[in-house]
Amino acid sequence: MNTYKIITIACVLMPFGLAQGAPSSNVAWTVETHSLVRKGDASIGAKIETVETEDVNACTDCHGKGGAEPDRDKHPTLAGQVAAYTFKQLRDYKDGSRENRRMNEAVERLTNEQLAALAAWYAQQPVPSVEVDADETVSEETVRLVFRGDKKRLIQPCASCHGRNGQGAIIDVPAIAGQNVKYFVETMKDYAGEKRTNDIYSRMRIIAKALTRDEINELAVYYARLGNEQSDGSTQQAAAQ
Amino acid sequence: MYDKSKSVALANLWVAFAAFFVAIILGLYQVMNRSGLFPELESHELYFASVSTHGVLMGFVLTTFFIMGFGYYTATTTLKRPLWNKGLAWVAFLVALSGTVMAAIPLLTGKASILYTFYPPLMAHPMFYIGATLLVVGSWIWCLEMIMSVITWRRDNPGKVVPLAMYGTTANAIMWLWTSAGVAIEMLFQLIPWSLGLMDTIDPGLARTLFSWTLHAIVYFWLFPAYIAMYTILPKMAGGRLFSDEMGRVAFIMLLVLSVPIGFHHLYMDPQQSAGFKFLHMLGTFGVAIPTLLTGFTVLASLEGAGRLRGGQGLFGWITALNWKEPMVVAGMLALFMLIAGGWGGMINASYSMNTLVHNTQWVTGHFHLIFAGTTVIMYLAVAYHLWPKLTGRRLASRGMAVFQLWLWMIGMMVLTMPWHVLGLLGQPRRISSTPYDSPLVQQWDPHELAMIVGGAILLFSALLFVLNLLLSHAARKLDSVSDDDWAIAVYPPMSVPKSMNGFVLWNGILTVWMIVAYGIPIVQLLILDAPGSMPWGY
Amino acid sequence: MHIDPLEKKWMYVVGFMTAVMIGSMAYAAIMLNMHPPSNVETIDPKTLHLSGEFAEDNLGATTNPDGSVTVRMVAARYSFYPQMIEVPADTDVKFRITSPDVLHGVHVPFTNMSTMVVPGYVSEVNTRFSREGEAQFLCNEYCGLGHDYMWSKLKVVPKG
Repeated sequence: MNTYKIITIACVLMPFGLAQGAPSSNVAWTVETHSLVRKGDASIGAKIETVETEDVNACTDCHGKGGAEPDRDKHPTLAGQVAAYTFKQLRDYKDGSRENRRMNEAVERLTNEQLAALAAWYAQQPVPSVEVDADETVSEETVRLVFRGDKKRLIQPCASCHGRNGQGAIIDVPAIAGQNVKYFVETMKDYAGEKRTNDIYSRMRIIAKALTRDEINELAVYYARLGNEQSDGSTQQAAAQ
Repeated sequence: MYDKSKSVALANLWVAFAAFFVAIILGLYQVMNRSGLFPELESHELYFASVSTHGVLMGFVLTTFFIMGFGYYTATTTLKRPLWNKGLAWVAFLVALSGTVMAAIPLLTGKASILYTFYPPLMAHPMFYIGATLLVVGSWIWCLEMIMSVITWRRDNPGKVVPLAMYGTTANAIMWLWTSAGVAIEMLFQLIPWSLGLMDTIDPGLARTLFSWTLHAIVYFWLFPAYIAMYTILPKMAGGRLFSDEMGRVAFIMLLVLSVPIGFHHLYMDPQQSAGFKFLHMLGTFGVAIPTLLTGFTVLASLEGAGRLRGGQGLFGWITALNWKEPMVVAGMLALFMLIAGGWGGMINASYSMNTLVHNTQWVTGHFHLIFAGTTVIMYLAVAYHLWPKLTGRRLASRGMAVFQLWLWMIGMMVLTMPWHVLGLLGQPRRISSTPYDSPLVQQWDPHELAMIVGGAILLFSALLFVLNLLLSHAARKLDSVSDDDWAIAVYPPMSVPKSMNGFVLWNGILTVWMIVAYGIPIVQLLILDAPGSMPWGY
Repeated sequence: MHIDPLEKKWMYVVGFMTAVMIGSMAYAAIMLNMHPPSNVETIDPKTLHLSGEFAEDNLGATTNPDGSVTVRMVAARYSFYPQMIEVPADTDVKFRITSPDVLHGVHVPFTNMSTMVVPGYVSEVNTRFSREGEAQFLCNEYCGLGHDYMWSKLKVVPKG
């Protein structure tokens, strides 16, 4: 009922608002949505991820068991991701706020509770190691971007929102440490090119557009390595509940 | 001889000054961080954990424990009888101390980096809120002690005038009960249930309003003992008499009534309160400057009397004639000097529409350090020097070092706070750990940023000398006798005073009505407005 | 009760000073309509972007029929959105700003644009900028570990 409530409110209020398009995401962190995510049943999520139908792959086919071994590194690892963030992405796929044919189809018939269950399941998993080319270098300027940002381009430090260890934060800021290098780069390219638009108030799009391609590449390597340093088998769940 | 409860007084004072010392070290870390000279030290996590701990230790721990310790000494030696209930005094101490420890753990481990104002919807570990509440509860038990001490003394001494120092201490206790109610309500009905997950959302507008109820008058809770010392210890230590006992009472009464219902000047820029109530609070805020201005006159007049008794001639000759070797005299004069500087700054803050220019800038930080860390704390240090021999039975390790330390404290405070006032006027925000703005203002700010570390270093050195002096005094030579009657006598000691100046019934009544109007109505309005609440956020 | 005559004179001086200060504030408030921002209006911080006044497409500066400008901004960790606001000089500007997350404060140094931003409430500031050029909105209330970095840009352009 929660989905319908959100969409109904949006539809009712929209004509009364001033000229505007659809919101970048229908997910709002109301008490109900928050509670839904918190009550997500990880054991149900564990079962859902292996379910395959005739039209739709199982999650594990592309993301691996527990979202820890994607078949290609332009599929994201999901293991250890902040539950609220995972839920939001799944929900956005379902609403069409985020476009990817495979993902839109994959979640089409899942209920909110099932999405929350998946999110809880992935959140419980330890962050896996990801492949990083040993030759790849990360310059000092890029590390400075992580902790100090760039005032000339009005770029805030990545760490200020994503955390000192890239572990994400309340409410739905994603963990970015330990993410696949290629997926990280593709995501930033999608934000910069307005192909991905489910970040509210365009906050990631603004930053992605301001960063250079080299910086994005190096940041991807930095965060992949950061995740590898930290992954020791224990859960990397951020402070979000 | 009667039990003066000196050990419980000393215990409270030691906790106060231990907290003070830890907080000073944190303060030095902060200015080192800001100076830009130590890039390896720079860390937002450490900085904001430090600011939060520093603020709590200085604003809640140093003050509350000092006030309790000084209060016990005052109650026993002015009323010349034991405490109403010594066991309860120890209970108060233990409750407050355990609360402090409970809050210190999350503070020091970065789980409560929400500053000493702890505004939601930033959320800390519940232990922080519970610990802080216990500290306040401990202080309430002290309030009960003070009030009952006076009530039982009056019952046994009908018609006699309550000694001024005790009258002031009791006024402070009553005022503290009135004002701490605000933060207690915020804790018990909002922050604690919310942080424990029993409430989903919280209204930050209501929380700020409740906190403002405490936030202004708490600085008068801190200031009261400084004024009490200025009225009832300083004149005697200067070698003179108190110019007017009655005016002292008038000042204490005005502070009791006017400190509490004026908190909205902390909310001038807030969107949850309307202009009308902000204006009403502004009137009271200017009103509360009056007892301070009266105090300035009475205390300076007392000092002038003392100076002239020592042979001072001419318009200003009495100043140099004062006994500048006496720590209490030095502190008193320096405190008044800083009060004048900081007080005028306060008038700007109080000025309704002018507040826009200084709100939440570094000006505010400069103001409250000058007036609290300066005027108030320097008097705390002097009271400590004064009480130590009385509480330990041993001489103070070094009066010379005490005098030197007090001068350093004032100098360090001026060096620290004057640049902050300028930075605020130049638009620098407060509560930042660095200045990464792409703005020409940043270059204008730089030289003042550097000045901070000089002030901080001087203050650390001064604080070190203070704590060292107290520590060494415990091993100093024993005194043959110790006087517990070093309370100042007025030029005209009153044989009797009107009932309203010997008790508080009338003033409590006035304050009740005023609080219902100034806070009751706005809070009810907020409850009716029922703003949609906020979820918890981390930092 | 005995009051020294000199002290009595001082009391009159104090009374006079207090009256002057209160009087000037009252004059400014009542006659010149100068008040700190005190618009009391609630809004749900949890659904800010979904629809309504602070939806994403609504933000920024709009010129009203009477020539005045209304600027709608959102203070969200760690920036003010939109990050660049352009307004004409010597024009009445009304800022309306709120937050979907925590407390913020916003001020433009050397101007009257200053207000707290409290989630659940819409802050409103009415002002005019007379100095042309570039300036910055700075966040002045602790909003988390990234508070230092929270700022955005203002450009005051010639009128007309």
